[in-house]
Amino acid sequence: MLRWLGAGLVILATGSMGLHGIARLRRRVSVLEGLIVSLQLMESEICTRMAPTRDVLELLSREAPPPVRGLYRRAWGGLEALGRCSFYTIWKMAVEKSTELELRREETELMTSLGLSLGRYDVREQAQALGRVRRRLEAMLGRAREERDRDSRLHAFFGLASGLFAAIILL
Amino acid sequence: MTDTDRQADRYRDAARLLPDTVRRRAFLLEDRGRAAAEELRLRVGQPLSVLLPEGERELGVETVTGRELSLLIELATGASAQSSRRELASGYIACRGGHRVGLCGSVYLENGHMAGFSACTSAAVRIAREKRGIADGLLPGLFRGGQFRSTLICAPPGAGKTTLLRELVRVLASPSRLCPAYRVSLCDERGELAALWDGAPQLDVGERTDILDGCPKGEAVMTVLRAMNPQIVALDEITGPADTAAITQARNCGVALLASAHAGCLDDLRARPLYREMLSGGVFENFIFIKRTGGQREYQLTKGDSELC
Repeated sequence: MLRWLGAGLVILATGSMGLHGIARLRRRVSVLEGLIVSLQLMESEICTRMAPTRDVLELLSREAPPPVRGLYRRAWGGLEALGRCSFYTIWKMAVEKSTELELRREETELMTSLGLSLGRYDVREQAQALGRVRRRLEAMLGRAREERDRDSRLHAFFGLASGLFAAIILL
Repeated sequence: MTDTDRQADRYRDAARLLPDTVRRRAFLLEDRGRAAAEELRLRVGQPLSVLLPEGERELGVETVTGRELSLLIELATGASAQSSRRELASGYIACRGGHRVGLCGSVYLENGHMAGFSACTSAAVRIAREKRGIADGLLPGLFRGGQFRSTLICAPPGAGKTTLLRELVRVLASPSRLCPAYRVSLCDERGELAALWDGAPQLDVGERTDILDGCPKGEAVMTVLRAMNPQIVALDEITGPADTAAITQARNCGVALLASAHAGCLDDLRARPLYREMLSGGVFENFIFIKRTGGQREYQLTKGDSELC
């Protein structure tokens, strides 16, 4: 009886590892989607309404898709430090502290580079920078979706298969 | 709170616009100096200095860096160049509290006009000042037949035109023994007079003042005439033909005017075609000239007459 229970637990454990892998792939897609949507909102606020950066960040900390709100909340809160450090530093720190986004190095660098243009240059230059970052994120999103569709089945299969294999050996 | 305390508070408020490293130097100034300070001046490679009635005085020995000027601009705009675009193209940034940061350096052009700065080399933080009571001695002379008469304040830059104009607006728009409160429409193109922030004036401009902020003066005058039924229209610094055309039209509508202009004396006004037409048309009945003698301001009221023309 105990053997069967142990085998069941092993299958459950490896199966949940597989599911965790799938969740991470899905989360990466939703984070990238959230960043793209929030940058679109940012672009319209900055380029159409010419809203102050503080208001834009405050709005995004409330209205951006949930997975990415923390980034904007940190950047908004960080504005208190303006004068002690530049906006670029505040933005860079907000991106780096947003570990829950699980951004890869290339994505982190891309988002950080936005801080060099935001609030600093004329509307046209900011729109160009936002557009450039968004396009590259869209390309990354395309790859992330492919990765999710391709690797989800693999994660599920290997999770269950390795559990079954281990259980058979144990039994 | 005394007037000196209020001025010292305004200095502290203006100093908050400076980056941390420069702010510390600004606070080296003693309280008496803070109350009298008119501007904080930053020049790359030079120490921070404060403009006092007797002249400029350096604060500390550390020199201002280009990075500090960049931080100043970020602070003054709230890292929002997009919102301060029009102001940057005019060479200044209006800030919370009514203070103003004037900039100099290398500019870039769009369609042949200045559009902003590619690099800043100096900045002047002009401290917004409220000086209650400075118009008290002048006020009775601005009335004829119990009515306020159109008045032009003339002085060179930095002499205190805006401060006097704001105080006159405040007094005229509040009930007093001289007059009931007038309905004053204030055309505040550069946001210096009332310093609106989040829809509220940061500086006292009286109880019955309606403020039109950020609109070019010529257009603003016509807008308030149509929309607000003013008894007095107030505006700072008449600088272009559009302003004078709108002023003349307002005068023809029977509205009294309160304005300011860059001019040291009557001869300056007469010499400039822009003002000559207004003078010959008798648009203004009163002229106030501000003179600075030994760090003190002196107000001289002149009545308009045919000699002016």
